Amino acid sequence: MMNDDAAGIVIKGLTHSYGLDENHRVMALAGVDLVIDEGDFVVILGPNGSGKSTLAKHLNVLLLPDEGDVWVFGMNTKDPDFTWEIRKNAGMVFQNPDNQIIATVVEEDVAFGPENLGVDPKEIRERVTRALEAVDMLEFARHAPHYLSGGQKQRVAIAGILAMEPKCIILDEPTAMLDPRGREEVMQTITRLNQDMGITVIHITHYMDEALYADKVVVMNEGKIVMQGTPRDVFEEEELISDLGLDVPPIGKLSRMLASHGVPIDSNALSVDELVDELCQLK
Amino acid sequence: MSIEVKNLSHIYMQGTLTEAFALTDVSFTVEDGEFIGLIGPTGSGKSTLIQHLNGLLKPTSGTVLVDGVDIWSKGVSLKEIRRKIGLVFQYPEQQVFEETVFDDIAFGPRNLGYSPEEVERSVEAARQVVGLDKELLSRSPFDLSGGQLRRVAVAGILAMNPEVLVLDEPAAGLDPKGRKEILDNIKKLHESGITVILVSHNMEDVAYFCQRILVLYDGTLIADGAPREVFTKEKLIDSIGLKPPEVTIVMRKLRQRGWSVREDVLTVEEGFEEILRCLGTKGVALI
Ligand SMILES: Nc1ncnc2c1ncn2[C@@H]1O[C@H](COP(=O)(O)OP(=O)(O)OP(=O)(O)O)[C@@H](O)[C@H]1O
Ligand SMILES: Nc1ncnc2c1ncn2[C@@H]1O[C@H](COP(=O)(O)OP(=O)(O)OP(=O)(O)O)[C@@H](O)[C@H]1O
Ligand SMILES: [Mg+2]
Ligand SMILES: [Mg+2]
Repeated sequence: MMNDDAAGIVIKGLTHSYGLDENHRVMALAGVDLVIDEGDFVVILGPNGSGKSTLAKHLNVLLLPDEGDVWVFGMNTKDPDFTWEIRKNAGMVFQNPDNQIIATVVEEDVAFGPENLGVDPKEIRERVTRALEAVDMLEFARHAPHYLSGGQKQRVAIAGILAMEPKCIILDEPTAMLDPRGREEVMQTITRLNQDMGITVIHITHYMDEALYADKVVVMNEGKIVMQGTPRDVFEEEELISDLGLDVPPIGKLSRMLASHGVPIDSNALSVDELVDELCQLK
Repeated sequence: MSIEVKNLSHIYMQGTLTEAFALTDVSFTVEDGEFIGLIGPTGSGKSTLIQHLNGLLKPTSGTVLVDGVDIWSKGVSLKEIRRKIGLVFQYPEQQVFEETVFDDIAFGPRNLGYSPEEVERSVEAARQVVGLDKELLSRSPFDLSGGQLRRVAVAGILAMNPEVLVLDEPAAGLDPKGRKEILDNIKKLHESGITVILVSHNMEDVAYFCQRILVLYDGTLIADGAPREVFTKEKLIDSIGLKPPEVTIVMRKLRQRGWSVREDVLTVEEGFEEILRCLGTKGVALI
């Protein structure tokens, strides 16, 4: 069951429902089609309960489709022979880093994944060093993870995934509990992994400004994809965005208010620097 | 109801190798009817501090006085304190355990001896404040999405009608509309008389909703003032890894580039007014 077109991730007609009891099921995914190219940085937005986490869990075979198919680097998630290979290549990071930390020393924690994959010890040591370097945490290798800050813990969790050398990482609200600097650190870390190492990134968030890091934004609602495009394209649709219970980032709102009051600037300036540059060009 | 925290220190696992100084000599008073924001970088001691306010944690040293009475002195009912001072935990998983969402929200009111009708009414009122779908009431709280579970946890505390509401990241994981609705509704509760203490990493929310901000850093209280005062302490805020709201940063950068805009701007609306004013004085033509 290899897919000829070995793109990054291909999802076709995916549905998923959860059984509550014999008579009741919840439709969490109601027919999702999505293609994510290798090396893409994708941000998934959507109101609570729209199916984002459910979709993410299909990408590393924590869930299987009711209908439809999911191919991860050409491998169908329904084929049990591929489960291991898919999990190796698509690593997940969750919201609460405490739930992901296993060992009492950072480097042992990072080594846990590759050890499980049966990688040989010498290679593991190299991978751990590389992974900690990639997230800029090498100097904390001998520290106890439980006494790191939230942002640092989250970077250790990402290093643990990296040490498995996946081609793709999926992050489900990894920044929800972080302070502003921790949030920025995590976003910069994953941007670097994406740009320097070509790792495919799928990032789920309720912080609209984090969507600005993406090549492609996917918006979900009621188990379906309702919008896809660049951050600019997506936030251009202000009305639809707000009907879905989402929002334009604060600076986007300010730009729009100014432009609609006749200030001759790009009404779709979304970041602080964009807006400041736009304003400073005015004569 | 007033809460006075006096020289409060807390050491976790004191005397062991891993002892942690979470709070050091913290003092402040919460007056009746305030809306306070508590901010600080990860690990600064926010969750530890608020768990002292209703006696979930016992000070290593120092005191917590509620209406002038030390809550750890003899004869004080901590149960009564916890009824009046409701605390929503940072991770909702720490708080939900009943078989259905309804039972979970009803747990507090039932425990307080409310009649079935009163229980029903309190659950319904709380459900509306947090914007939880009615159809989710019969579901197991473990069959919910992250944001749905967060709403259940907040509703469970609201249903007890506390006089002081202490919220540890109540809007983390909520979608933007849910976040705004829940905070707007909490603001309404505040206007009807309850005292609110909001712990949050979202500076936009804190700047918009709170009248007073406390800043914790490494277990010490390093600032206490109105949002405008606190967020314009640029060096202090930057040095501890926090950030003012993005609009405030726009103003800062405009000033650096020679604009004479006010820096103590906190919301999009204020930023809009201020930029228009400044463009007016510069004589930039609008179209
Ligand atoms: N274990 C479960 N059992 C039953 N229903 C579930 C379960 N997990 C999720 N659901 C339901 O499936 C739907 C999609 O949930 P999912 O967790 O994928 O949403 P989400 O987009 O990640 O939401 P959030 O932003 O709140 O995290 C929701 O209606 C939710 O109630
Ligand atoms: N149960 C515990 N045992 C030992 N140390 C702890 C415990 N809980 C917290 N600490 C430590 O106490 C300090 C303060 O933690 P606290 O949880 O109060 O921080 P916080 O400001 O709420 O952080 P965050 O923004 O990440 O929620 C941290 O250094 C933390 O590691
Ligand atoms: Mg989710
Ligand atoms: Mg905390």
